[in-house]
Amino acid sequence: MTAGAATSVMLVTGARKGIGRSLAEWFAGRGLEVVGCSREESDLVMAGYTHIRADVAEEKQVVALISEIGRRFGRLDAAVNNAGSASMNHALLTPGSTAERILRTNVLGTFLVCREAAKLMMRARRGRIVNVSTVAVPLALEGEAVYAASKSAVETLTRILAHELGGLGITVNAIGPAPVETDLVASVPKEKIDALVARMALKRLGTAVDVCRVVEFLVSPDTDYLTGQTLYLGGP
Amino acid sequence: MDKARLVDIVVSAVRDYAASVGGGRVAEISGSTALFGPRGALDSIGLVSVLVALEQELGEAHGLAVSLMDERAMSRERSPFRTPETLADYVLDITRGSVS
Repeated sequence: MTAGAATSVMLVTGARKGIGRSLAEWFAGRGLEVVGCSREESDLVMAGYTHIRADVAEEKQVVALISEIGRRFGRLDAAVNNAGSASMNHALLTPGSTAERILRTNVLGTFLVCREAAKLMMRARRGRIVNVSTVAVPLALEGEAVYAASKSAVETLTRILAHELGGLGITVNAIGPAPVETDLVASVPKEKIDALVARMALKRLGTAVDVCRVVEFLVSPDTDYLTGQTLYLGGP
Repeated sequence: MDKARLVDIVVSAVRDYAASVGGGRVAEISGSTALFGPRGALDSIGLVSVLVALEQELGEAHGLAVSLMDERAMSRERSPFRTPETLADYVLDITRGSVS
């Protein structure tokens, strides 16, 4: 992704581990300036990668994060809202505090980053926002009621922001990965994962590379007539 | 910051936006220009763009951290965003803490 003369700048939230870290490594390795954020420090050290501690569910921290990107780089070309929280459990056994934590990170966090990122992107009247949903939404997976509901909200946010930001040259899309072997799904019993994979058109777990390739397509400057869409991986 | 300076900043933000989208009335924009409505200088996305630009300008260049689009603005009987002058009044209200 090289939009304009200067190096493109991408924000990846939840970049300390899992898919977020893979995204950071993928795009920094392709010459972008990648700013990753998470609540904790990262041990990722590579050219083109900068880590900033921030909790996406905290408004002031998100404002400060984007302000820092503006100060350091003067631009933001793409933002990937990868930070997410999950808890697989039967709805009847899910504490309200768990539901609130999931909704704060996944819905409020995505909203806040979209809002602040768009303010910086609109200066150049171009930008790419990619939100992260899940195949748990179309599959209506048992045990993921709150998580899937939060991602349904992310998908609706994506569609409406696409309309609100389209006039500013900013596209907003979402990607819905199939389960990828990360910490987020490590606590899910194997038989649950196997049953999920059996319902997919493509009978395997996803990989981080699968996600990176689709995100790379969505953030490309050439992908300028695609917005408000959720692309599911693996064929749920 | 006095009102005249604030009106200048708002007018400048409106002119910058109008110029960026090829608006033909840039030079006519003044403190009393209607910002929205049938004869307004801005469409809805233009008003959003100007308010965001204004927040950024006030914060970065003048050290004023203001949020122009909160419940206080929306709950007023008359929108504070009618003209650059009313918007400047609103910024003064916020920064003086007279709006609650």
